[in-house]
Amino acid sequence: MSKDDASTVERSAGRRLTEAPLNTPLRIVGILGGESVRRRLLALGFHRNDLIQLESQAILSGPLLVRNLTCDIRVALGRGVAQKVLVEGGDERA
Amino acid sequence: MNGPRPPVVIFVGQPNSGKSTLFNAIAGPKAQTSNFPGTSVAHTHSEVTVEGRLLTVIDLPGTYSLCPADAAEKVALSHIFSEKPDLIVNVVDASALNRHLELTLELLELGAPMVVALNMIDLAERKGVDVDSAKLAALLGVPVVATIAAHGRGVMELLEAALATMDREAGARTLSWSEPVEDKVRRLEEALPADFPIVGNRRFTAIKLIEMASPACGEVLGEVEPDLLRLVEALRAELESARGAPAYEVIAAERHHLAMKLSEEASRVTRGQRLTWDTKVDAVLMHPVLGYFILAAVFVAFFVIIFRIGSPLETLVLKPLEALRGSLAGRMGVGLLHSLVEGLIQGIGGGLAIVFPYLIPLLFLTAILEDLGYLARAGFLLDAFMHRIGLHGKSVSPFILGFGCNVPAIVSTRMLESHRDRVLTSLLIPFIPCSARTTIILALVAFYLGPFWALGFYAFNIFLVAFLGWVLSLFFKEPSPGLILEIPSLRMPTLRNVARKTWLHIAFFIRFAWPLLIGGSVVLSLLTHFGADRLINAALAPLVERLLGLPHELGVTLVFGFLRKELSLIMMLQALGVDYQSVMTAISREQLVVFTVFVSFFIPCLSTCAILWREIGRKYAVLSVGLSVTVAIVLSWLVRLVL
Repeated sequence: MSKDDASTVERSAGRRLTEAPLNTPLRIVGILGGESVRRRLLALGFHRNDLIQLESQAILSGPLLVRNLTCDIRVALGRGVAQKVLVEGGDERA
Repeated sequence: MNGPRPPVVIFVGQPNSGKSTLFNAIAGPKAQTSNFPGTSVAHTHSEVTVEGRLLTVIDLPGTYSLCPADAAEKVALSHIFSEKPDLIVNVVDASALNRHLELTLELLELGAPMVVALNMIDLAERKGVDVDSAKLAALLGVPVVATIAAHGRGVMELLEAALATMDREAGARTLSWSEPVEDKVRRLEEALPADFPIVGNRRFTAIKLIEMASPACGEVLGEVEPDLLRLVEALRAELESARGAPAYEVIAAERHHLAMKLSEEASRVTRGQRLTWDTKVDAVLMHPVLGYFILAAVFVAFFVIIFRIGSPLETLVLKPLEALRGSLAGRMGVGLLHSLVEGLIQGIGGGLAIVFPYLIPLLFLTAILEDLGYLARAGFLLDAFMHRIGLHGKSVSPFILGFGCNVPAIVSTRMLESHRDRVLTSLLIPFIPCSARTTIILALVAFYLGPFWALGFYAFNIFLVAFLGWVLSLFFKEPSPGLILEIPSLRMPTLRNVARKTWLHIAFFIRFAWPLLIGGSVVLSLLTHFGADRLINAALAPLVERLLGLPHELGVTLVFGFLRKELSLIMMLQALGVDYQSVMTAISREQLVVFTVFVSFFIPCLSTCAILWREIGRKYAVLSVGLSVTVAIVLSWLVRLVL
């Protein structure tokens, strides 16, 4: 499946995880990007409709620290990866 | 025991499930454990006797799923698929039950006899979750035993359950998914030709055909069974149009929902709040400012260990060996035998001088950091910097290990998912000053020029690694897949695990690197014996004398020093015919710096080259040697010009 197919399949709603506010429950509505990134996120327990929360952010455009509230797992996501995760919820204007 | 081979018990679990710790508790001090995803990259075998029965137990690298993503996971899978285990012990982290159950469900699909170790039940309790193992066992249909591997709790019960399950010889039953998905699996299962290579069972094979990465399995299947491939593709398309997501995601979602349902049914939330000390400590460790201070403190600790513990110990170790060498020289004269013995003693001494004073303390510290979960946090903090050199935070852990010894550091790059990242990291590690080279920097630069020079040298070295990374990444165009790194809960390292892991690294060094060191040392002694050193020095004079401005006696030390890198300092003193205190009478300060630069960046050591060859192939091993030769010559020449 090509990159574009994957993103259209996702009915892209929501916004990128990199633009979401800290410490607010967010729902994953889609994951853009290629198969390998999607598979790795799935393997680490990040599925569509899971509730997640941004916990902190490293300096100099570093990675985001994300807690999956559904299974209480924390991962560090590089910015490139986090941009591909679409979420909704939290303060939409933030 | 009643067969030609003892029954095989395989330990499978996701990274950070405490699997290796549990394995250690059962199998003795042979398995590696850690709190950084994917450090036990090679599997560990052990034979144990439980209640009078001999078993082969195998600890596999942690794997998130049965669709492999990195080299370490591939090791895990080839074992599960090829070794036909008599029993699978699936270790799950009770504190993150529903994600760990996703792998459990996948393993159940295999249909092999299985026991679940519900590990870290204490951590789950601290998080306010009470998991009912009896209920989980009823839901999964396999025995579930609550364990706290770090304290050895539940281990006996687990073994009893394991033996009983093995005797029953009953395979696990799989749990069903939603009907539309089951229907697709069934259709493919029925269409599998009679002679199709079955993995596990027909259903498992059908599921894997649908969800495994399409290019890899498609190519082979298309050649052998074109009809079957068409059916697989049609079924995938049906799933995709029905669920609006790729087929592998549909199947992953089925497991995810099932796992959530099971974990909700089996666990009870006793209180809402999460454990607080760990959140507080973490907030400091990963703080945007404080976090970097702590990281810097860790590096300072490395140097303090090398300087305050390593150097004095090394002197203690080397003194008797030097005395022995001296007395042998007196007794044996200067025959061939003497040269052989001398090479042997220096090789053995070089190993001793590196293992006890430096490797043990440094690897011990790294093991503590790893088990604590700190290396993953360092990866988080340094990710942004690693991106500048074309890598990401997951390479931080191999780099840190490299300060101790490059050899295990290169092995540990197996946990990187992409081959590109692995090659790039492995090419950079030889430029990380390992403990052997740090001693040279300390002994020459810090002692004769002052500690600030040594510090500057180190800063420059790190800058050089960054610069080379940037240059190399221009040639490795394929983008890095980006950081996806689990940050495990902080855990108090146990002495037993840390000691075992340190021992495992040391044992690897002794088995792999030390023989090379001894061999290299003997070769070097023989060169001297047959007078080849003078010829080599003469041949190298244009490089050593003209280009670098060093005494031509240092030719052999500089160029063949990699055969006995740990003893470069002693070799230099011998070549110049002076003792340590009077080095400055033989060479100038500038020459000292040029020498140190050359020795630090020239071919790291024979063992590093050998491990590069084994891990990433001859092509890159040769490239690495070429790179270090070029860097050493160019840099030391530049340093000579500047000074």
